[in-house]
Amino acid sequence: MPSFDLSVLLPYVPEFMRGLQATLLYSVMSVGLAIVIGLAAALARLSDIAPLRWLARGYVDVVRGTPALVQIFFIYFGAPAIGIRLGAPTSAVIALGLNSGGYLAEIFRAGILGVDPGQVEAGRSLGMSRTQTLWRIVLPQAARLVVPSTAGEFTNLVKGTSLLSTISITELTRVAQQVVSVTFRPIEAYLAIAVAYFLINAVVAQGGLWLERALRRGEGLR
Amino acid sequence: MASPMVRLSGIRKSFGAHEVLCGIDLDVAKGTTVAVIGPSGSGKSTLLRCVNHLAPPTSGTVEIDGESVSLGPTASKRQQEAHLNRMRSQVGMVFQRFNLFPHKTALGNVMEGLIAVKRMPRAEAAEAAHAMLKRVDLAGFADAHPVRLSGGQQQRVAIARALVMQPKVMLFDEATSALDPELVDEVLNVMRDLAVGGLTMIVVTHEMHFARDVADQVVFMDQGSVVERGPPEHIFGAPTLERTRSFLKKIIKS
Repeated sequence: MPSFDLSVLLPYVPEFMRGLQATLLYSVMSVGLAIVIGLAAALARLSDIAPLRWLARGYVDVVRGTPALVQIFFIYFGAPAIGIRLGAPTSAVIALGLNSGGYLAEIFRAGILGVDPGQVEAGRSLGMSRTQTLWRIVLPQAARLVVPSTAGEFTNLVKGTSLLSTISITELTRVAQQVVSVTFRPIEAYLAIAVAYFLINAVVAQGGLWLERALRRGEGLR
Repeated sequence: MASPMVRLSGIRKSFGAHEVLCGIDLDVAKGTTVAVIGPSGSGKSTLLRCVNHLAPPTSGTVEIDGESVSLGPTASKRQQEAHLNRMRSQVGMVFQRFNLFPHKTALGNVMEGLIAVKRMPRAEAAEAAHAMLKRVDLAGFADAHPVRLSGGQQQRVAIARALVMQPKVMLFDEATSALDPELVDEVLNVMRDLAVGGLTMIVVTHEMHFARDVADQVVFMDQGSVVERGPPEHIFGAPTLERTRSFLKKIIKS
């Protein structure tokens, strides 16, 4: 048994950097998609139109009730079966975006419901439309409420990108697997990417705290 | 007689099987103040919320300056919404719990309606908002967020926010009930100035002094109906009905 030695990874630093880049890129793109889907689904769940509510409810339940890995396989292998060729990168972003969007939908819905109904009444009594009241009054206040749980969901999503290794996307986890298969050094390789994930999520968590403080300042709170 | 600024006709409001307003008729003449008094649960606040349809009446009509607040059922949903928004912009409302926008400064709160509803350019809106804050004696607090203000200051910002829209009528829903006792007068003084200045106002209040001194007409409500109405000297001096008398006795003792 060889002793612990991180320097065995040195020849593979370029591969790890490319993997890190891919992990970051898939995280950012999926987060963007998840925010859009999550907000749309949250608003649909609060809609006056019953079929919209049912649709959103069904989506959230399916996403939260099935494994992310199964969802990724379903989109990657399932789409060609109905004649859509997505390719791994597109499938990856759609699958992770849909998955995270389901969790964000519930976080956003709770945030919107957490805003005092008197705020809506104040907006409407000035003559603002429903849409104006939503965007100008309700959502800015809901944003502050949802920042902590949203940041938590982003860290989940960053970790979830490791599942993409199974559909041949060369992100951090897959790079580590490849390096292990030639070096036979699993401890060093997996420790290296564990640290990388941890650092990414430390930045995400700190960003969340920073944003929360900024929004609190925006309400005159310290 | 000139047509009234506010005319409520046959206003009924039910929540489920429970009827909160049982057919209210009320005219408010231009430039006058009506005080609505009565025990809690009598439907006063609901009546006020029917005026701008925050609580749409189950039946009956509301007219502001001769124009119905809601369009008939023949209009499309979109037309109805647009009409309602336009009518609401002509009716100022002040809430018991202020309902200021916490993410905006005092100035931002007062500018909001001008920008969002009246589509006024920012600079112009800021100028009007500054003038209005000065009028409620808060010139130095333009940049303060609501959490930094006392209850009385918050309520005066709320009054400025409503007033800056140049409403045809102002509705006050127990505007001083959530205030510490020592802060009540600063808000009542602003309201008194507005009434004296000729604004049309409907004031739901527990402040009997204010109702007696400022209102042109006092309406006593109980259990969803208007029990008695008349000039303050009548209601407070020589109420005709036993229910009015016993309510006033209870309130003035406490």
